[in-house]
Amino acid sequence: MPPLGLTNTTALWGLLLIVPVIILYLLKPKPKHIVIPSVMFIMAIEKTKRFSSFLQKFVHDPLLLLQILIITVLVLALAGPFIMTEQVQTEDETIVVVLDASASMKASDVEPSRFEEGKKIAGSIVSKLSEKSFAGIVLAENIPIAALSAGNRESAIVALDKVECADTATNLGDSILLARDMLSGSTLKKIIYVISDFSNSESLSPAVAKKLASLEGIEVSFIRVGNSDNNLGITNIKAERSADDKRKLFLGFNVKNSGGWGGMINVRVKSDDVQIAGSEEQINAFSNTFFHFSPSISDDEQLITVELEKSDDLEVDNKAFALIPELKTHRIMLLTSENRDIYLRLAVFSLDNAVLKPVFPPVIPDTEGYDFVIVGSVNPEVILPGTFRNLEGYVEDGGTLIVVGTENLEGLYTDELKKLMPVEIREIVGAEKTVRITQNHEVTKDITLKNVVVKRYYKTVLENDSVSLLETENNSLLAYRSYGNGGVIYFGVNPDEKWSNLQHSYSFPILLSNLLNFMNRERHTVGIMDHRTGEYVSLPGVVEITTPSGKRATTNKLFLDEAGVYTLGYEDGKVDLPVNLLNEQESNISSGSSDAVMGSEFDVEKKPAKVKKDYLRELIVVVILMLLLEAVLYKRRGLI
Amino acid sequence: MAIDPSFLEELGELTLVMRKRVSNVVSGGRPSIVPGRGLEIADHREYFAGDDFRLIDWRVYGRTEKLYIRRFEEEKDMILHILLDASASMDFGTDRMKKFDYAGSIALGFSYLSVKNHEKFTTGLYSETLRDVMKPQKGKTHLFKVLHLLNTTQLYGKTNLSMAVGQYTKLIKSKSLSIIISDFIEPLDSLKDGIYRMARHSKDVTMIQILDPGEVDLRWDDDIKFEDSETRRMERTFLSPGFKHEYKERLQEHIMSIREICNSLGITFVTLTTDKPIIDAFIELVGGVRRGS
Repeated sequence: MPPLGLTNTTALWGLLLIVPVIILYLLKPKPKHIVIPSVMFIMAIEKTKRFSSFLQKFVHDPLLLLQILIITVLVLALAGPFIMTEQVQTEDETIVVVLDASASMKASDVEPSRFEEGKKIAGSIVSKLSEKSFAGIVLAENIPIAALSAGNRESAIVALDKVECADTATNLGDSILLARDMLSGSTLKKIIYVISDFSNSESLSPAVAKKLASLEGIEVSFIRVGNSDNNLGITNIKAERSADDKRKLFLGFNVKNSGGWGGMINVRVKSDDVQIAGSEEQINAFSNTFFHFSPSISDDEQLITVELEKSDDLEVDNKAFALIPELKTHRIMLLTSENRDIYLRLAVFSLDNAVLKPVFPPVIPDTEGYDFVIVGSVNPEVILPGTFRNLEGYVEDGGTLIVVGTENLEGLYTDELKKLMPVEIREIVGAEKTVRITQNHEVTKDITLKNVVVKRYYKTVLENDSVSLLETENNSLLAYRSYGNGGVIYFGVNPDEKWSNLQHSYSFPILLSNLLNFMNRERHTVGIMDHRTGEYVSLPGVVEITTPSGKRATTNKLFLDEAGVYTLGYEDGKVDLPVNLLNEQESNISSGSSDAVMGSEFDVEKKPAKVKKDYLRELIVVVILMLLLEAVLYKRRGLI
Repeated sequence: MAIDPSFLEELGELTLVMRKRVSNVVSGGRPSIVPGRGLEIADHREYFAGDDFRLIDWRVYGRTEKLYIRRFEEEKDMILHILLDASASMDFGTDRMKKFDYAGSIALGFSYLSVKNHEKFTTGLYSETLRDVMKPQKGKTHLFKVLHLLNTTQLYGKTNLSMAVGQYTKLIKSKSLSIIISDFIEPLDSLKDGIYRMARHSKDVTMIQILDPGEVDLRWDDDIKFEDSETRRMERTFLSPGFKHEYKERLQEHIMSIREICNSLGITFVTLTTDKPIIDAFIELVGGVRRGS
């Protein structure tokens, strides 16, 4: 038995209180001595009280003994008795678990998946926390996500139960730094547990992030899950209608083999779930193989799916998707003036699926049958009143209006036109500026505007429901919006040489073609090309979304964390949105960190520590019981 | 013993009012415990209120126009025997007088009645055994002898009614009227035996229990060391209300047990406490009405 210690020995002076109690007892008058004849009845009663008779053999007055005991126990309680024991003690800590939630964690070399194994390890770490400890959880996707900022053990367990793995890349470095920031205010021991397969990490290296965290006194542990390299994955895909034959598909994709396996695999190409091509190919170990197919396809819009028929440890990259737009001939009416908008006309003429009709107002033919009406360098004075009202009707019926940023636009910028425009135009700026692509988009794919400058441009303010694709100095140069059943485009990069050098860029006709193809699809104004996981996209309006896993949401901003086909539900129909992983690093699921402990060998280390066990509570309970007993004795004696 | 002088004066007035014979008082109109054996009429005496009207001799009334009752041989020779407990337990009192003083006053009262009615009486004292028995006689001189005996008696020893009665009944030559005055605080078995013996040898028995209010109520509190006045045994206890209640119950139980025995034998049993004025107690015993009350 360990020795008993006392926190407050001064309290023992309280035992001196026993002295006055004993003195009072001694001063108490001795019991009266009464001689009576009827003692036989008294003796008979006393015989029935065996316990008190027994007690009275030792103590004449049990009340005195009880009072002395009460004082003694109370004094002892105040003295704070304790014993020191050695036991494995869980000290209070603040921890953050950084859990890799990237695509490679879906690998099934660890059943059921690396991510589930990681969750289990995280759960065991959290469950061993003391009651006063705090825990946070960070999911390391391509961006760090704080799933729990600071909770207790129980809330951390609940949060862990809800987290899910994404199909994105991972950013462990930034996730560790986020964890570091989450621990900054804590005065307890700080630990970061990083659970990952450490197959790759974008941006900051985990090792560097660990060092940065250590500088702030934070202990960082790396825990590895998974130990397999068995994976083939599609890391790149290009699918479009062939330039020379729009009824043929140009399909090219890369298959990377990260592991040591080599052999034959079947590749299937499907259009809307119908196989249109396929082959059996040899894949070598640690190789990167390019595949090409040119099957015939219809004029309709179709979803192309590429499948690798090979069972491996990561399935998310065994499929890739691409959406092929409908093949349409664009009929375009250009409102212009003689000898104006030459480069624009030439660019349209160069497209093989576009037919252009220049029109010289004031006479404007019926717009019915035209897919596009472009308002170019037309003299405002020849525009008849009501023209834009008519054009509004045209757009509402499903047409697309393209307004080019010309010097005449100021004169044309009536309230009727203003109502239609995706931007509000301000003054013209005469300065040479480069053009920036605002977001990856079907319209801006396959173009480069590195050497493109604007010489003159309108200052613009983007309207709320519009999407900007090109800009300079925070002024949108190419924007679009839905309007009724149609759409309106502001084309602010005027190809006229006074306005820009776009006419010299080979990207100009491609841009134009993409724009026409995009706007002339079914009127969903999706504006989204094939995307990769980890991207944020803006939607032109609030749309009902169904993710590849079946989750539903209604939003105008979408984070693409799942690979597969999203469905966007518009009033007039649904549109498919293919999203692929296409990440060479994530497809390489072999572990990269030698600094990590294997998850199966990891355990939260608890050192035995000397623990003080005090008995204050127990002694107080004893005192209370004795006081109750004293009250009972007083009651029996009729004193209360 | 201390006799209250006013008691004797009141006794004098009482007997004038009552005009009862002690024998009638003691028998109380109840049939004798000893059934008649064809008693012979010894003589007649004047009828007094309270006499059994069945004893009225109507032939004498017819002749004299005065009421006379028949007196039988047995009744004529009836002697009043008073047996008085003189043990240590009777030397106890918390009120005005001790139990023995009270008991002795009662005994003297009955003796006085006998003197007034020209009847023989005697008094005996007992504790563990019979002590100091007087020869039955009539008259005031004998009364003073009784008084002297009571005044000079020492109270000592334990009570043993059975032993005392066993000895006393050997001295009784004829049927008699007996009065036993005690606190009867002794084991019930001994009491029972004594009561049965007395009943067999007496025409009528009356038992008068004298208790002190202090021993009835246990008029003390807190921690007390009790000593038995006869056995000298000590018992220390704390007198809580609960304890007192239980004590009273046990005492009452004891008294009820004695009463049951007496009822089964046709014996009158009366319990008195010394805080009751003696004259009131005596009146209760003789069943009369005090002048002026």
